Amino acid sequence: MLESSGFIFAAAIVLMTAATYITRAGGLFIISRIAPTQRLQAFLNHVPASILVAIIVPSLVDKGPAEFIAAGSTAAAAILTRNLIISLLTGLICVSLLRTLIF
Amino acid sequence: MKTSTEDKDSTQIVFTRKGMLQGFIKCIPLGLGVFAYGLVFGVLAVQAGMSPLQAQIMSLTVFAGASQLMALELWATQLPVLALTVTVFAVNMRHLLMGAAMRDWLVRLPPGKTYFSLFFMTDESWALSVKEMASGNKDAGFFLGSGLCIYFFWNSATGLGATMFTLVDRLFADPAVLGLDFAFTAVFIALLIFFWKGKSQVPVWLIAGMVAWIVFLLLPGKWYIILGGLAGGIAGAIKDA
Repeated sequence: MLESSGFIFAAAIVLMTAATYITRAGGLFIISRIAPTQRLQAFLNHVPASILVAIIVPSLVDKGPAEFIAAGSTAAAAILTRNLIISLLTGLICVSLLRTLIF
Repeated sequence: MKTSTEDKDSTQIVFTRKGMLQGFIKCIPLGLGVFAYGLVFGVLAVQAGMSPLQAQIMSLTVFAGASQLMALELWATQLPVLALTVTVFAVNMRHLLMGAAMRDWLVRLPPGKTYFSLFFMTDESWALSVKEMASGNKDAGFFLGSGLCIYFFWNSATGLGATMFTLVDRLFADPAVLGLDFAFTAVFIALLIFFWKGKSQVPVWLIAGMVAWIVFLLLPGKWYIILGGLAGGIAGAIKDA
């Protein structure tokens, strides 16, 4: 890297850190200053599961049968055991087995 | 769950070491998944022209997996500082919504604890904590503990990946080999199942999923998460209130 890059690197790091911290702290900062109406409470109650759905759906749509079956098995394990680690292991074992079997 | 908002308001939120330890331990399986991606980041950072020290500094300060990997795409001899900052901000926008959703725990804590804990918030520790909060755990130390767990694994993996990158590159270049790329999907599926309270949620989840899918196809980065989450939240607010 060039001589001036030390300063530029430091500047980039400081600004990127500020950018990530603002997103982490900003949501709570704003919400703690808004009066908690019933509608806002209902909104916040539905955000967590909605974000999980929003993460899961695109991570599965362009995948194949191995991932679909593994996703179903993970869900079944979660319903039956209510245990996160058992569900995770079920999903991982399913996906590795199915990938070696199918492909 | 049948707790009314009045009940929630009257309960005391605590912040203990025991809660932190519990959060840390419960997050270890997720930490191991993050570790695999941290190795990948360390290797790619060195390949993109960063020194191991620079990669480590970035993981200690910026501490955002998707943002850091995307920053590598922009890494060059002449650093595009503004583009890097804007990219990182856009990729992390989803955390605005996630932080707001931690309201029941965090608004009742002293600001120092709240805003210190928030520095360590990641998708993984957030998902685990928000579920814990919804299950009635009153110890907000869980949130910091789970965040610190991810911080520990992400940073140790960055250091290992960046210093031993030729070796690590051969073993871990593709987390898909071990099925680890599916680990986060599996965790998020299980957590979503735990959020199930009845059929009335189906339309809200369908809207969140459809919006996320459409945005995923149309926009780059992580916009699909924040817009899907917003859509579901708004649909839920219209349904319930």
